[in-house]
Amino acid sequence: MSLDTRLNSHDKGGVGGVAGVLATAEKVRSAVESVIEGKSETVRIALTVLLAEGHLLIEDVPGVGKTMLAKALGRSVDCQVNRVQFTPDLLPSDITGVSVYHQELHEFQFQPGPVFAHIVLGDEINRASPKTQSALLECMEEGQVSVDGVTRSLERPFMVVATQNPGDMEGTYPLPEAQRDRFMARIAVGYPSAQAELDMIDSHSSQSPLESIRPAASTHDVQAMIAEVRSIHVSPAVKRYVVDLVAATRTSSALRLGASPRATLHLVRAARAYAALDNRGHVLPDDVQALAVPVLAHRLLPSPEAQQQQRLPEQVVSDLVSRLPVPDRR
Amino acid sequence: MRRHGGFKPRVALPLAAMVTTLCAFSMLDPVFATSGWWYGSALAVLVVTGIGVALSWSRVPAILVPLAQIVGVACTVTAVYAPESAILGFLPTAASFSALSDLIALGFGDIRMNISPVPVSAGLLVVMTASLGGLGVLVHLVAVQLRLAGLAGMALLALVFVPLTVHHEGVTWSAFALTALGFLLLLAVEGSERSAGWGLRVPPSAEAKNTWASRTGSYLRQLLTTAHIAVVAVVLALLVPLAVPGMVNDAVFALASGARDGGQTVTTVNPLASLRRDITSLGDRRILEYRTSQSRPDYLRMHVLDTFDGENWTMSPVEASQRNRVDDQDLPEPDGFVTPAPDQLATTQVTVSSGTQRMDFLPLPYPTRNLAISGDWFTDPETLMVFSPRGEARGLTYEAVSAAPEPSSAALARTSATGARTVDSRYLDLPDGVDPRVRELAESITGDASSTHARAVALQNWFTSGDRFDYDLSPEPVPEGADPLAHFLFEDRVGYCQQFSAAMAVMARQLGIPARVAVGYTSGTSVSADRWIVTERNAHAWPELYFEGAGWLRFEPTPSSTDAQPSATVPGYAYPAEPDTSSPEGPGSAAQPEDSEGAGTDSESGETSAPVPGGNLADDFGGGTVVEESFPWTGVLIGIGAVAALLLLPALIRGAVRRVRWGRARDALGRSRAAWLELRDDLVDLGVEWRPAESPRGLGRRLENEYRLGSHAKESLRRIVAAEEAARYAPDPLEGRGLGSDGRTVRLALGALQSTRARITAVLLPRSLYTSRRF
Repeated sequence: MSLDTRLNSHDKGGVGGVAGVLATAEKVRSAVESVIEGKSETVRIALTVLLAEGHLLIEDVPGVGKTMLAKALGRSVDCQVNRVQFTPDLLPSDITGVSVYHQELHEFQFQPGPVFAHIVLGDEINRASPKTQSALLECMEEGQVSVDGVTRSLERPFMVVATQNPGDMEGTYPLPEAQRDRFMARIAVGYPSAQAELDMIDSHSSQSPLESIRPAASTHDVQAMIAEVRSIHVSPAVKRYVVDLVAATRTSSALRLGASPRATLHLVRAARAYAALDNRGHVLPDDVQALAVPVLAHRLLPSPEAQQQQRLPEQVVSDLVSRLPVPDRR
Repeated sequence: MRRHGGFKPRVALPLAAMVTTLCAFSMLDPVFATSGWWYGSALAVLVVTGIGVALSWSRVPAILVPLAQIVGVACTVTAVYAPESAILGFLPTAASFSALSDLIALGFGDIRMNISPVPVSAGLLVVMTASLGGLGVLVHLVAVQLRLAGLAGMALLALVFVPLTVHHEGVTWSAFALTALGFLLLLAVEGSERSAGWGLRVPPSAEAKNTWASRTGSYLRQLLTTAHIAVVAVVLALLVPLAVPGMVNDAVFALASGARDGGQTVTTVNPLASLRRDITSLGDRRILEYRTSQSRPDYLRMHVLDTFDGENWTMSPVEASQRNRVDDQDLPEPDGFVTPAPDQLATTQVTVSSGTQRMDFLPLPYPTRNLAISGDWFTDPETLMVFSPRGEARGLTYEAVSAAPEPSSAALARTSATGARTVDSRYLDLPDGVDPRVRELAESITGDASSTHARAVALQNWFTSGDRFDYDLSPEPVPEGADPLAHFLFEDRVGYCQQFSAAMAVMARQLGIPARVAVGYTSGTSVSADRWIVTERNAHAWPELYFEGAGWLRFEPTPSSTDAQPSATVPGYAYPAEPDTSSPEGPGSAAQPEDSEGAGTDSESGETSAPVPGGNLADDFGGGTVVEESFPWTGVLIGIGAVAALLLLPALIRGAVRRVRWGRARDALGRSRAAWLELRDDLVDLGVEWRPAESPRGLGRRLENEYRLGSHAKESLRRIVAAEEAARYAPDPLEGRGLGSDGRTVRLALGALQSTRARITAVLLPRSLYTSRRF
C-alpha cells in the first residue's frame, strides 16, 4: 500500500475531485469495516460497485456476514435501505409494488414496493421463482419500475445487493447466466481470520455493531462521487487491455461461455471506481487485474474439460490475467 | 468446435504439408538428367491433399483417409502413364495394372543400370510418381492426421538420403534450403494452430481482429518466430559437429561433403596389393594382348597413386559422373598436355583375356587421347585413368589412340624448375613424418645437378646403377615400428618395383618435382611385328614425374635384369642431357651418382651411429623455417587482444544500446521510456524474472518484496515505475528528470544482492541482447 500511495502522490490533473472522492469513500469504508472485520478487499469491491453504479452479488455459505455487509453499506451511507427476503411464494408485485384502490379518493394509488430504495438487499435471491427474480432484474437493468402501464424511475443511487447460497440446495432457482450477467461483480465474503473472529466475539456481545454506525455520507455525496468517478481517465492502452482480456475469455478452451460486451463495460466502469478509491485520476492495468475475477468470473461457464479438471472460472480468469501481457504505450 | 475452429485449420495444415512435400522434391532434381520428371509426382501429391481435405469435411473414419489417398495415387499413376487401358481414363483395370507393372519393372531396371544423373524414362517416371505419391500420403498422415508435424521431417529425411547416396554431388544447398523452408512452414502452421487452441492469441488491435490482413500478420509473426529459432538451430547443427572432435568424420558428414567417399565412387582393391599378387603369380596367366603401330610401345597404365601417407602410396577416390563418361569425344587434356603432331599418335587395340581377375581400371598407354569402348566407362580428368563402377573389362576389346611423347633429354633439361606450376600442388605434398635422412639423401644424390631433369635422372640412376639394391619379390618384412621407406633406403635395400617407384616418387617430391606412382603393366613381350602379349608377371609400378612444358613422364628406377623385371625399359628421355653435363653419360655412367651416393650414406651412417632418442623429431621441426624466426610476440599480443575484444563485445554492445536509448530520449515520454527499457534489460541481464503480464506497479511491488533494496534504491525504483506508468496510462506524463541516475542506482542495488557470478554474467554476457528487444 505504501508504494501505491507514493506513486499516486505524483498524480496531477483532477486530483482535487478524486481526492474528495477518496476522503468520503474512506469514511464510508471505515464505517463498514467497523462491522465487517478483516475484509477490507471485500468492502472495497462493494464500495467500487456502489460508485460504479453496479449491482453486487454476494455468494457464500450462510452466516459469514453477507447481509451484515449489505446492511452496513446501507447504513454508512445516509440512504434508504430495503430488505427483501426472497421466498418461493414471493410475487413480482411484492417487489415492485401494487396499485391499490383508494376508497375515499376513488382512484388507484400506487403503493411502492421495497425496490423503491437506494440500496435494495435481496436475501437469498435464488429462492424466489424465476418470474420474481426477473422482475427485480428488470429494475436493476433499467433503473425504473413499470406497473400498470406507468413507468416510475428509481432514485439514484440505486444498487441491488443480492445474496445467494451456493451449492445444491433444495427448492432453489439458480440465477441463469443472462441474469448473473447483470450483476457487476460477485464476491464471496469468506470466513474471517482467527483474530477477526475473536474481535467479533467481543464487538457483538454487547449490542449489534450495526446500531453504532453513523452515516458517513449523504446520498448527495454519493451522487457527486459517482459523477467524479465517471471522469476518471482510461487510456487507450487500458481499454485495449480490457478488450483483450474479455476476448481471451471467449477464445479460451477452458470456457464454454465467455464474457459479454456488457462485461467489458462493467469492467471499465468498475476499474474507474477502483482507481478513484485509490486516489488516482487514471485507470491502471492493476485495477483491471484486481477486478477481473470479481467482475468476470460469475458470467463464465467452464467447458466440460475444465469441469473434469475441477477448474473453476475464477482460476481460468486469474490464469488469463497472469498470462496476458499488460499494454504498452503503443 | 468453437467459432475459431471451422474452415481455416483444416485446409491450412494439409496445404502446408503439400507445400513441404513439393519443396522436398527439389532435392531429387540433381539425380535426374532432364527436368520435367516431377509433374506426375506433383499431381499425385495434389490428389493426395485434395482427397485428404475433402474427406476431412465429411465424416469418414480417419483410418480410411490414407487408404483413399493410396487409391488416389494409383488412379493418378494410371491416368498419367497407362490411360488407354483404364476405365474413363483413370480407373485402373487388370490390363492397366499389368502395363504399369511392366513399366515399373523397367523403371527398377533403369535404377539399377544407370548412375546419376539418370535419363528420365517412362518406367522411372511411374516408379517416381508412385513412391513420391506414397511419400505425400505419409506426410499427410503424420503431419495432418496424427498432428505430428515434426515427425514428418523424418519422411523428408528419407528423401534427402536418395541424392546423398546415389549422386556424386550430394544435395545442393539451394534444394536443402528450400526443403528446410517448407518444413519450417509446416511447423509454423502447425504451431500456430496449436497455440490458437490456447485461446490467448490476442489480435494486434480490437478493430482489425478478424480481417484477413491481421490473420496474415499473425501468421507472419509466427513464421518469423519459427525462423528465428530455426536459424539458430540450423547454425548450431552445422557448427557444433565442427567443434566436437570425431564428429566431422562422421558418416553423415562424409556423405554430405559431396559424397566423394560414397555413392558412385569406385572402390577397388589396393592396386599395390593386386600388383604384388600378379607379379608373384606362379601361373603367369595372360592378361591381355594388344596390337600397336609402335615399334617400342609404352607401358600400359591402370592406376595412379597420388597420395603418400608416410607408408604407402594411395589413390584418391575417383568419381563416376555423367560428365566424365567416356564417349566419342576426345578424353580431357591432362595437366601439362602437349598437343602431339599427327604422326605422334599411336593406336593400340587391346583385348583383355576373359580369364583374368575382375578389372575395373583399363590398362592404357598414357596419355590416351581417344578411346573406343562399349559399356559405361568413365575417366578421371586429372590422371586419365579410365574405370567403371561396375567394371568388367574381361573379354573386352577396345581401341585407344594415344600420344607418344618423346621429348629429348636436352629439351627437358631446359625446362625450368621454378615458375608457376601448371599442376596441382598436392603432387608435392608429403606427410610430416618422413624420415629427414631421406631428404638429405635425395639432396646429396642430386647435389650438383643443374636442372630438374638432371636431378630426376640422377635419382633414377642412383637406384639402378651398380649393385646398390637387390631385386627381390619377397623382401624381408619391415620390422615392427620401422619406417618402411627408411628401412628400404638405408637398411635393407631389397625390394621390387613397388619399393623403387615409391622411394623415387617421395624423393622427387622432396626435391620439388611433382611426382606420383603409376601402376599397370610393362609393354610385355612381342609375339609378332605388331602383336604384344602382357602377362601377370608384367605387372609393374613406376614413378611419373612432372615437367613443365612436357607433362607427366615416366621414369624407371627398378633395376632391369633377367631376374628382376625383364620387360622394364628406361625411356629415352631418362638419360642425362648431353650438353648440360660434363660427366660421362648413359647407363654406364655410374661414377657421379655413385659418389654422391657414397657421400649420402656416409652422412647418413654418421647420424645413425649416434642415435639420439627424439632426435628425428627435433630434426623434423628443425627442418622447417620456423626456428629461424623469433617468437611472434606481436602476433600473440594481437591474438590476445582480439580474444579480449571478442569477449568484451557483448558488454560493449550492451553499453551502446544504453547510450542509444538515452540519446534518443528527448522529452518526458522518451526519458521514462528509456529508463523503463533499461530497467527491463538490467533485470534480464541479472537473471531477474521479467513477466510481460505484470504491470509496472506490479513489477515494482515484486522487486520490493523479493529484494531487500535500500531506501534510496526503492525511491529510485518508484520514480522509474511512476514515470512509465504515467507515460502509459495517465493523461499527462511526469517530468522524469534524473531517471538515468535512478536506473543506475537500481541496477547497482539489485546487482549487489546477486551472486558475483550473476553480476559478471550480467556485464560480460548480457542476456537482454538475445531476447527480443524494442528500442
